[in-house]
Amino acid sequence: MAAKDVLGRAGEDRAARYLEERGYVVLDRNWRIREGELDLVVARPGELVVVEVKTRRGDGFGHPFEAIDDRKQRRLWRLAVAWIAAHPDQAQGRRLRLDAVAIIGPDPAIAVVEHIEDLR
Amino acid sequence: MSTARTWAVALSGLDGALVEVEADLSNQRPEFRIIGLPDKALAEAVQRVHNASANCGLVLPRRRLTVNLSPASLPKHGSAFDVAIAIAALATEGAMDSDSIAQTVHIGELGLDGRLRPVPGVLPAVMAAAREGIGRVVVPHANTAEASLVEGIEVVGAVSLADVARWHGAEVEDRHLDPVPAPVSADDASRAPELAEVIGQRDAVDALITAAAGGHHMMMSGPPGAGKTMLATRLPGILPPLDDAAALEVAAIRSLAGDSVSALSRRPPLEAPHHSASIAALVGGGSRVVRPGAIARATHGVLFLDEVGEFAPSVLDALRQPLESGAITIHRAGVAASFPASFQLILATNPCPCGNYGVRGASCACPPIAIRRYLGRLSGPLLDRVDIELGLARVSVAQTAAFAADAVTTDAAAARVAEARGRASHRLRDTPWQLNARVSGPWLRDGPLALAPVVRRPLDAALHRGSLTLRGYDRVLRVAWTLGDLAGRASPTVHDIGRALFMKKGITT
Amino acid sequence: MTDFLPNARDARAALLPLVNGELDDERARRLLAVHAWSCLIEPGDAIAGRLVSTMGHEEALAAAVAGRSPTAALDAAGITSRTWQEALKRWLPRVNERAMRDALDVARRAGVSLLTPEDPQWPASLADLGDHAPLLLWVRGDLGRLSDPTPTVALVGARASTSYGEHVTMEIAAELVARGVAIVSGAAYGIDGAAHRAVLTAGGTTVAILAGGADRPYPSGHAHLIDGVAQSGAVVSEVPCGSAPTKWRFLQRNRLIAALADVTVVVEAGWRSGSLNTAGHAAALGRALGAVPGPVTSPASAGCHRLMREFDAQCVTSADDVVELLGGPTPTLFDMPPVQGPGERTDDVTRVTDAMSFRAPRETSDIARRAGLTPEEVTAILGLLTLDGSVIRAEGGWRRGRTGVPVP
Repeated sequence: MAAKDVLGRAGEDRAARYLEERGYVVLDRNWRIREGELDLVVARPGELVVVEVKTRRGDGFGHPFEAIDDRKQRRLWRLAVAWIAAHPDQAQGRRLRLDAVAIIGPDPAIAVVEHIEDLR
Repeated sequence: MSTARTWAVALSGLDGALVEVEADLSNQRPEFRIIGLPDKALAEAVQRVHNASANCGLVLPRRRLTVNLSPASLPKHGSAFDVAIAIAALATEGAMDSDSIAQTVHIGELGLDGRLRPVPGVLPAVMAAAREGIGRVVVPHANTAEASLVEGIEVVGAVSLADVARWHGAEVEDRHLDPVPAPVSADDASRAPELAEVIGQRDAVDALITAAAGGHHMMMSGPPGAGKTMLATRLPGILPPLDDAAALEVAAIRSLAGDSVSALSRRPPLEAPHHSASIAALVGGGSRVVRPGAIARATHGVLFLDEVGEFAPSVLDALRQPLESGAITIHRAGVAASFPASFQLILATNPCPCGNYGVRGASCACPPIAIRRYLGRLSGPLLDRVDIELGLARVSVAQTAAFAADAVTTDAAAARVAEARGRASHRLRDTPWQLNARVSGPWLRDGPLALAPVVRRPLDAALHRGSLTLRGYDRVLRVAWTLGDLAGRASPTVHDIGRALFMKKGITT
Repeated sequence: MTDFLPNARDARAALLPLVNGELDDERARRLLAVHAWSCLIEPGDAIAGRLVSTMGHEEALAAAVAGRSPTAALDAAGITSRTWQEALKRWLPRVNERAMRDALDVARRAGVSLLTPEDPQWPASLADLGDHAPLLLWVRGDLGRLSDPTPTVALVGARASTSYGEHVTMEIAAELVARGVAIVSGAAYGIDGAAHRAVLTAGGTTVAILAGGADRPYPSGHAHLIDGVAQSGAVVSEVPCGSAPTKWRFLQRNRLIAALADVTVVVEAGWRSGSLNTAGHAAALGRALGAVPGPVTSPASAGCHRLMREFDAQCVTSADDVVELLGGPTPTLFDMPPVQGPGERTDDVTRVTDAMSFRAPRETSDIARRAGLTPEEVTAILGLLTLDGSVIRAEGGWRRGRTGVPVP
């Protein structure tokens, strides 16, 4: 199991808080299976969202969202489907969606949050 | 997320069409896509826009950018869309005045360093923009003078992408870069070569003046050193200066050919491709952007083919379309581009392979069959278009001194040509033609200005006898009218007909 | 005024459409008398000719019709009393007032005009026929044609022509037209027809002399051709309109052909051809006579060969040879007004050709110097002469060529 560094954890915390402020409920964090890991699974009435969180100190190595390529996106979908299979009652009546949240700045607690809904 | 719109121009030949460059920023993973039938060079714009923006301190939105070039069905080539694409993309984040960019045409290629690089065809593109009612155009700094030749449109020359953005209201630092210079072109000689330098060739000078006055195509035959090139290069100097429309067209073609254009030249162009030139060099070509060849570049001027028998037959065949229709069409990857190609043709040939046939004091070593074969390479249809044939001999030094006083100056000849042309265009004012050489045979023979039977009698008799073809008949009439115009006569006399016949029979027996 | 002539007013009415110029009673009476004579006599009647020139048309007519013998006039005319009686026997049976009036009507309807020696358009060359000259001519077409000073050549020959003869006729005729020569012939089948046709095609001028009335195309197969001749040239006869051609009249109209031409050329004729008769007239009139040879095995050329042997006819092989017979420079179509400078220029074409050689090409400046003309004038003439091959461009300049060779 790879260790998440402090920044990564702080970023995920920040992302969770940001989403809660927008009416989402956190259903799961860091759900891991053999194929990979889901950073956050949140929900709102009618919506089930799998969130990929990217935390960076700056955009010196390119924008964090550029790190989510097609392969990663496909894997996230597969993991999302696996999560639903594992938690059928929580998925009931909710439409599945993939989002990305980027936390950019030296202190994730107060950094800029960027949010892409419904990755395609 | 938002959209931004600006304009660019797509060229097909000399014709430009406005292209709307519409950038849409959607909240998706970062990606930059150009749609609307771009070619390969255009598709590479993404990389250039990225690097140029970054190097100018301009930030491209980190989301999905889709840039649409519409109308989608119009093929778009080349790198001249870079600036428009960059501005539209940058403007989606709202940093610039959307009205300003929506009313501006942007033309130019972006260097990776952010500077605007000059592109060919700025003049015809700006002409098209002005014609479509666009109020201002941004061009690379090196193309500013060229773009300013067009009236009725504001021209902004920009050194870098930052300049353009700032001009539209963005807050960006001015880095005071040096502009990318224009390509260096061969400079037009300031004065046309002087006709009076041609000494002792009175027949030849007369023939040149006649050709100029009527727009007649001419062929010269003579040994090397007889002065064929000298004469041909002096023709543009005695032709009337180009009017505004013609000068703009010539400049637009030169621009498309990649020459640097900063002023309108009023001298009719002279193109003299070598006989080893490929078809592409003559007709035009280029892998992506169509570049006009020598034929199009000679429009409104002179196309001089020296040693015409040495040109490949396929190359000479390419002359057929422009001679007939005044335009040349280039086909490239399923796309056709047409250029105007209305020129005066001057052909030159040696009298035989060794060059000595008919030269006094020299002996020709060629067997008659070789001579026939050499001259036979000049195709019938091409010779058929030639109204005036001229035999040139070398002029000895002694003769030079004797004839020096007789020489005709460029100015004097140009004045005669202008007057004769004026007479002709007045006479032809209700017809679709301006030059005698273009008038149709049937109109000359049967139209309102048909000659009296008494004057035509020798030609009619020869036609009936079969010693003159109908095409030959019409040719003689055209040249006779030009001779009449040069002499200030209201209509040609039998004398003019005789001289016209002499001018056609100058070489062939 | 004799009985059979209508009164003055009717006379004027009948004559007015047929003549030019003022028509007073006196002229009307005279013209009627001339017309009456032409009805009484056969063409070429010298007795009538002599009498009329001595007495005047009206008096002579009155005397003849009354059967009188005007001794003083007869003596002056050198007509013996016996000759006179014989003449009267010929003429009096033909007195027919009705027929004479009808002939005038026919003329009017056919658009034929009357020419008499007092008219300015009367051809002076007919005077050579002396007493045998026609008293009048009926002309359909261009009235001024006959007195035109244009050189005229008679091209005649057999009716039974061969294709060789027709070909040569057409070549020579077309060539002469291009040199401004008019052609006269008899509109008969064969050589005559070929000559007229070639001239019309080449846009030249031709005159047809008929043996019958000018209103009646003869032969009928040439009706269209003769109409064509009338349109650009003239159709001529000395017998009254409505008259039929007879053998005598054919022979007599040949004398008109010969007299109206400066040169007569017989292109093809058999040993006994009627066109030999024309040649005979030409010889008698002192006109230049030419004949075109053919194969010695061809009977169609036998007459021409005979002319050359027995009648001193000149051998003609081309239009050039005919022009030579015409003698002196022909005014050609290439006559141009002087380009610059005052004064008349006589035959610049000859000056140019004289300044050239058949063998050694010369440059235009050289030719101009020798001919005493400007280079501009010389090039204009050279240009026109290239049309028929008279001059040829060659290595080093221009030289003379042989004409008749088409140059593409």
